[in-house]
Amino acid sequence: MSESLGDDLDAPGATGVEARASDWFQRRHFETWSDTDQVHFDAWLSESPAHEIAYWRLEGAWARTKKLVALRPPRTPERRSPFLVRIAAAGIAAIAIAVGYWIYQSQPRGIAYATSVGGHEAVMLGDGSRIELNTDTAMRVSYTSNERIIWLEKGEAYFEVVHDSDRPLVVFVGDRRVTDLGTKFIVRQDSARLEVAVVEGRVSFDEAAEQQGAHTLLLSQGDTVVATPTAMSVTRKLPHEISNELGWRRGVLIFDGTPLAEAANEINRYNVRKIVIADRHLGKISVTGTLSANDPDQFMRMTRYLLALHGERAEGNIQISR
Amino acid sequence: MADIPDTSLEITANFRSSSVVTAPDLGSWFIREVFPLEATLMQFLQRYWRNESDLADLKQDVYVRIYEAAKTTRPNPVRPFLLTIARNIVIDKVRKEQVVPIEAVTDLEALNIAMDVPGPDRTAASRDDLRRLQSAINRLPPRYREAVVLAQVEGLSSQEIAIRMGITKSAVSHYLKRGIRSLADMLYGEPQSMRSRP
Repeated sequence: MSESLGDDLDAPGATGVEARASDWFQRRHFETWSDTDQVHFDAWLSESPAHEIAYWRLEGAWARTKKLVALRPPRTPERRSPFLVRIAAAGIAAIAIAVGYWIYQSQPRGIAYATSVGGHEAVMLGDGSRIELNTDTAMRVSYTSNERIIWLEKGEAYFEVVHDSDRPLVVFVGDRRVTDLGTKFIVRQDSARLEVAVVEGRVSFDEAAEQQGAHTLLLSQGDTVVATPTAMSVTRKLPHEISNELGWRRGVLIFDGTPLAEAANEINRYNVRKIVIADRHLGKISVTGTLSANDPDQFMRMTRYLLALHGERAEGNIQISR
Repeated sequence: MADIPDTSLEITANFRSSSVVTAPDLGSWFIREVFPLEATLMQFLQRYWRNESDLADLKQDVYVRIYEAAKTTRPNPVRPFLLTIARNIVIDKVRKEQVVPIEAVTDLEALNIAMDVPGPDRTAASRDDLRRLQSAINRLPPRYREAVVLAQVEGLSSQEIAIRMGITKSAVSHYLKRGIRSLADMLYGEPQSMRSRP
């Protein structure tokens, strides 16, 4: 492609049409866009099917480039070698290098993705793996020819990983890591609590490397690890329980005998307007059903009609009381 | 209080959508069904039409004819339909301009589109798609790539990109315009031999 500044806007035939389509596209997406611009743009589109087609083609291509973003060369590819060389030169044993590499790996870099409260984004990575970010989530991705590293900085994500034993996909959450062994899994972090649930296949779960007695857990389908800074437990969930946890992928939250307070906390993750249940006893009522994740009013109506509770909006929140 | 019976309800959720394509129905159909066949189309045109400078116009003619047809009925499957149209357009042009050896036309008229080699299977196609995506972004000149990535990944406006890259806004506009055009050409599969075109 030439670097010349000509944009072919006046070129005859299809080349000119494509150039003008890209001009509209650029202005519409990246510059301020007025109603007058829209009028001119609509007029241009309706002049000829060829105009519409050329514009759609760019829209389609641009949408597809969303998949590309994870393929970008990492921003700081040069960082690794000096660091490793320094350790090796100091004559430290291979295990130390492994730890050093771990520390190096656990430093976030790469491309950032984030969702806001109530958001939901799917990211397609270059190897065909797919990650869905739930509400209020931030992660970074570093893909190079010999590593696939993801740092989940906050929130929750669902991973469908295309397995590659030469280049395992590793998810870091603080000083813990989850390594894909061919699988689909969920990683969720709420303040100091980390939960990893295996939907399909297997993963390995490691504690921080520098801790004494750290060990690796091998988790398979249904296994769910809940780890806090001081404790860790592993349970096995039934398939429907796991799939209920993934309701957010469809925009819903599925409750099954869930205490009302816990249900409210779940809904609150997705909304700026929070549900407040002041009465601890009310919080213990168990609820079962499917609710829209981003509609706290629906929750209020549910408690009103089905539990005869009182709900009102106050100070931007929703107060539930008897 | 704790022994209030469980409630149960099902309420249709308002699915959160994350649609990126704003084109109307026919546009979505083109994006989904037609543009992905562009590599096939370009290979066909290149094979039967030697003059490379006409290819963009021929492609446009094919798309417009599909557009006209699809307004009433969407062809399904699209591939043989597209190739039939391409064949007819090339035959018309051959007759009009009388520049191509007559064998080429006979060859074309005898060509049974339905018997044409089947498209690659889905898996291979999607793997190929990812390679193509990777190669497309890597083949953009560095400044173009940088502008496109800032726009796509970080969602910056051209003004913000200009500040970030330390260049003028009109240079950014140029990079974005050329960048998206090149991406469209590469993603929708220009044939191999066109890649090195100046």
